[in-house]
Amino acid sequence: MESFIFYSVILLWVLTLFHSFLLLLLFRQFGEVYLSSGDGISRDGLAIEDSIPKYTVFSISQKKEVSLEELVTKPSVILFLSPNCKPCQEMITDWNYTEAEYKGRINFITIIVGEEKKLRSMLNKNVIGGEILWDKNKELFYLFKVRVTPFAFVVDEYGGVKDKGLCGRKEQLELYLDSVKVNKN
Amino acid sequence: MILSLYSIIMFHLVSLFIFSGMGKLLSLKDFVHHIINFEVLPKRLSLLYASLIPFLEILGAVFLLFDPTRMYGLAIILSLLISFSYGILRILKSGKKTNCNCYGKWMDTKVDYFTLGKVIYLLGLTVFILLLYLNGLVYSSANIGIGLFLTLLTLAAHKVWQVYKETMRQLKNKERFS
Repeated sequence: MESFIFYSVILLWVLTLFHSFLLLLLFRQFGEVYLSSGDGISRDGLAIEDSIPKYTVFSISQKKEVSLEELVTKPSVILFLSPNCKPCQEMITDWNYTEAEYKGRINFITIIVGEEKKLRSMLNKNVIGGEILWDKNKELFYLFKVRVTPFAFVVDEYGGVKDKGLCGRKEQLELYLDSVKVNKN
Repeated sequence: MILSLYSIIMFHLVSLFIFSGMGKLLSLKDFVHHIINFEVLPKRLSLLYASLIPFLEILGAVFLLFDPTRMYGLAIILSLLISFSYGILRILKSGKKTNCNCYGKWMDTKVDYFTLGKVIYLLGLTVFILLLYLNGLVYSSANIGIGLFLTLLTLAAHKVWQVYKETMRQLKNKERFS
């Protein structure tokens, strides 16, 4: 009986370790499938109808600290960009084009995350339409629950999120803008 | 009780080394070619070392089974494992992606952190056996069975890891901004 228990304990421990290893791999794959895919990332960010955080951030356009809440005086689109990401660079042309189309009707707010040196280099190479904010320590990035850039939020005049998602093209941006029902100029 | 545990580990090591040695022996040419490609040792030394590995693995494993030769077996296995860990570390440091041919033609395995972990695990078992160093193995069906089962699980874990790595590679290569 003693040997039986001895062998059982050994076998059970071995199997438990093996199962734990399998579960670990399974969860990592699960994470990759459901959290890192385009669909998964689109579920990131503040939930629809949530309010944007009340936060003060440095405005590059105004060269002073501004309250994000005060910038949202009418329906607005907030785009998170990172100087390191290629899709962000590619998005700038579409962003500027759309900004011109909706000028005066929708606020276009870009929040750039990352180091000052890279941010300056990005701004030297590109002209970005609308208000440009600098999220130096990624605080807004985390408050908005974003993981990947370029990521956009469309909010109404009260700061409630109406739509959101990955934003790599003009068509995607226009689709999100439909949620606030504002016509082009 | 401790002798049974000792025997189980011994049968596990013996079966694993015989399996990997046989696998390498059956595709010796490929194995030698891979070891040369590691570029850890000069070409001639790699050729000699790679040709000897399968024989040393089998010899070391067989030596472990008998009391008078067990110390030689442990010395061989320990030297092999230390050289494997050195080689794997060098390859991981260089960032080279290559096959490890750990089980010859029987399983397609890559040099990665799992392989390093497995070698460390085997080193741990060998050191445990060395420190305990008991005479006489208990040749009971339970000890042999559990030893073989441990080997089977080690091989299964390695296979699962390879499948996992391949799946993750494919998932990460999928276009995120589609």
